[in-house]
Amino acid sequence: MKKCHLRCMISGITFLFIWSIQHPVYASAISTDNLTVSGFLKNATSVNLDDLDEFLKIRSTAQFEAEYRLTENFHLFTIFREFYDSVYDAEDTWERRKNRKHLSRTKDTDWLRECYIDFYSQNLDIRIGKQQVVWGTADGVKILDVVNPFDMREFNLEWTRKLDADSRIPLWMLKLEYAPTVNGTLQFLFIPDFEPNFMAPAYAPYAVRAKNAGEERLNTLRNLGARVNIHNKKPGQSIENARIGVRWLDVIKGFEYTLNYLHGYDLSISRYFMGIKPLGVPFFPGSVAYFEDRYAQTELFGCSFSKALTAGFLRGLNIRGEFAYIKNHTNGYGTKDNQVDVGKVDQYNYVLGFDKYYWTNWLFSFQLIQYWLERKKEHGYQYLFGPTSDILDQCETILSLKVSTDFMHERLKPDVLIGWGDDNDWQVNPRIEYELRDYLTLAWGMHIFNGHSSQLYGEFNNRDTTYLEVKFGF
Amino acid sequence: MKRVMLYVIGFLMSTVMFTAEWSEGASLTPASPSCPTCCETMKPSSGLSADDLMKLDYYIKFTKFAQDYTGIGFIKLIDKKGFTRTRDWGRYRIVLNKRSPLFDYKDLIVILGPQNIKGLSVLTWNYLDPQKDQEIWLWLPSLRKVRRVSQSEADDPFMGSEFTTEEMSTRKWEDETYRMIGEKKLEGKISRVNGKTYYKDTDCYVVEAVPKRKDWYYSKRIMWLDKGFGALLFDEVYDPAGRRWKTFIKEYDLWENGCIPQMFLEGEDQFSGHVTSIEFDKKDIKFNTNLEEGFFTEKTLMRSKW
Repeated sequence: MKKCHLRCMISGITFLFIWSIQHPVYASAISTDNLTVSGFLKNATSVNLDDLDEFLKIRSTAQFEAEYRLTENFHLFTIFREFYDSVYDAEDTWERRKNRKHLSRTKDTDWLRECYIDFYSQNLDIRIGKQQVVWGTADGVKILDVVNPFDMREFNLEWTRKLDADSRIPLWMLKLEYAPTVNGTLQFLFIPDFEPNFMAPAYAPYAVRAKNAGEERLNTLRNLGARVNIHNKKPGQSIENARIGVRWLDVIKGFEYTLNYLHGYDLSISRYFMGIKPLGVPFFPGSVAYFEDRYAQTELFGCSFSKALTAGFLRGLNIRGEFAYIKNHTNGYGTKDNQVDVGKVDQYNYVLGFDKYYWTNWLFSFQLIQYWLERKKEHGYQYLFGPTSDILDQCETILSLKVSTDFMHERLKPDVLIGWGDDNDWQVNPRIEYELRDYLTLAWGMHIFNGHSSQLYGEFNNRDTTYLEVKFGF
Repeated sequence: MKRVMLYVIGFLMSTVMFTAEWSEGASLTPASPSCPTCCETMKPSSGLSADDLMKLDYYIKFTKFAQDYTGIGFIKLIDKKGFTRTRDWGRYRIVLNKRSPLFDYKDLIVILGPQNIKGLSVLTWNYLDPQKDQEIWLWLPSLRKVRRVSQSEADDPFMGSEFTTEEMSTRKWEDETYRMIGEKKLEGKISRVNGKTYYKDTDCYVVEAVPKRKDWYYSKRIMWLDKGFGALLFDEVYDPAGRRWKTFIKEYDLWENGCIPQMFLEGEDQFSGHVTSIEFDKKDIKFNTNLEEGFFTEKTLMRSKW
């Protein structure tokens, strides 16, 4: 079975590769005056560098995009996407068989990726439907970019490959953009749809350490004879539960700024232990351990800015930043690897970025990112870092550096993104893209992690990976 | 004495007449458009200095004869073996220099294909102050986000082409010093892309431009400007060692309403043999369609679906 799937996959990629080189004439979007249809076929395969026999991903994706222009001012747009990750067939372990239904293909109606109607006018743009909205200016981290949830089955790796749009989970919403001045825009969001961030389930290739540890504790309860009941209190899709967002954007003398406000349920889940019934011990016959997955109501107040220095000593430097104050943020607390409870603690996050070109076309992009908690302790316990269940410092710092350039008339585009955490853990992500034909691109890259297993990047120490992507656009 | 007086008066009169005629001919004042969709017209005349000729070239290059411009371009990138890549773009420009105390023009380029870069958009604001760099925003389809960027180095090839960023958009009249070489006939330039011969026996002004910036990526340019309407027809760029490095052919269309759109550009690297052509379809070119300044903002970038 495993060999059969691998052979099919390799044959498929080879066929696609040869066919597209031989038949470039077919590689064009269908376009009429009112209708444009385009899309791509893509295969992304990755292997664990620490165990070269282990595939981490063999994902094939087909995407079709269609835009229909009813009038100059009314447009319909939709994206259909389906993928299949055959790694869950190729790698025959219990965990992967279990995870197959969650991870091997598009779930539910997610094949309808985006679907909306646009109305344009001079001062007012309206977009209604399933869409994604992006706030903020940061690379590879999410400070203000929290309107849409993220599919983090690969943790943050898609962000390092500049595939944020692919990892964002679109939501049904209404977006209004009103421009009372030439450069000023007021954005209003009404989001009745709700989806939390999707984290890889336990034992999946990029499951975070806390997820695996939590599953182990549940298994311990099960082994002791208790049944585990997890009640997901996901907010229903209603007007009362709708999230509301407002953003003001303006540019004054080249200084661009935004003021942001977002009210609604947090996209992260907090798991609460409700007790073991009837007697509080798991080994009593008929015992049930109750848990609740809850979503906190939070308020986000934020701002961002960017300024390109167009004259003077620092000419050519672009400075950008974003800040978010999250009121009523919830965070687990306890001791390392042992969460006692969940507490409300306000959070202050910010990023400062500096970009500059050197030597013609070498872009250097440096970021300082800090996450601050309002206080370090709750009921004598320290707050815990969600992904790893390690003790959380009141201030966590991350530095990142991205270097990118291009060669061969922009056919060959290498870049590297380096992330460093203040616990001396780090991540290095080199990537090279090569445009073989107009419609055929290859990408090769690696994700290298280092650090202790309880740290942000170190937890994937045994998940260093190399990958190859083949994308055929039309 | 009377004869001397008449001679002096005659000499003075002829000097005044000559000066008046020269001044009128050498004036760079544009003639107002004769209809709402017409463009201003400004033509060279004998006596124009190299500096004024170059002002006229920039006036045409950035369509400053019109209020706004819309066009679709088809780019071909061809290496010496003939391997070809393509890009399609839509370009919008609003000229503000007569309406704004701050901005010269604003420009929006939207990549229409191929799929792997479709949707990529570049919004630039160009200041009247020649000392100030452009303001640039990018719409990045893979991130679905607007990203402010600093102006890349001016010698960076624009989209992998023979045209540098400076040649496409950031070079200003003030960046070079100009010297008139003379008036010559262009012997005709054959396009490597379409095989057509351009400008055979066309009367030209020949101007040499030297960059003010020291140790720059080129040492000089020799420019052939049409005597009839003043635009740059053929451009030769010399590398820092003084060798002929790149050549550019530029074709225009002279419309009855006074507008002068660029129709075809070709750049060739004489060392690598790589060629870039940019072709515009006449039916997609529009001037004076009342584009609003509000169109050249992030709001428009965020309309992008890709």
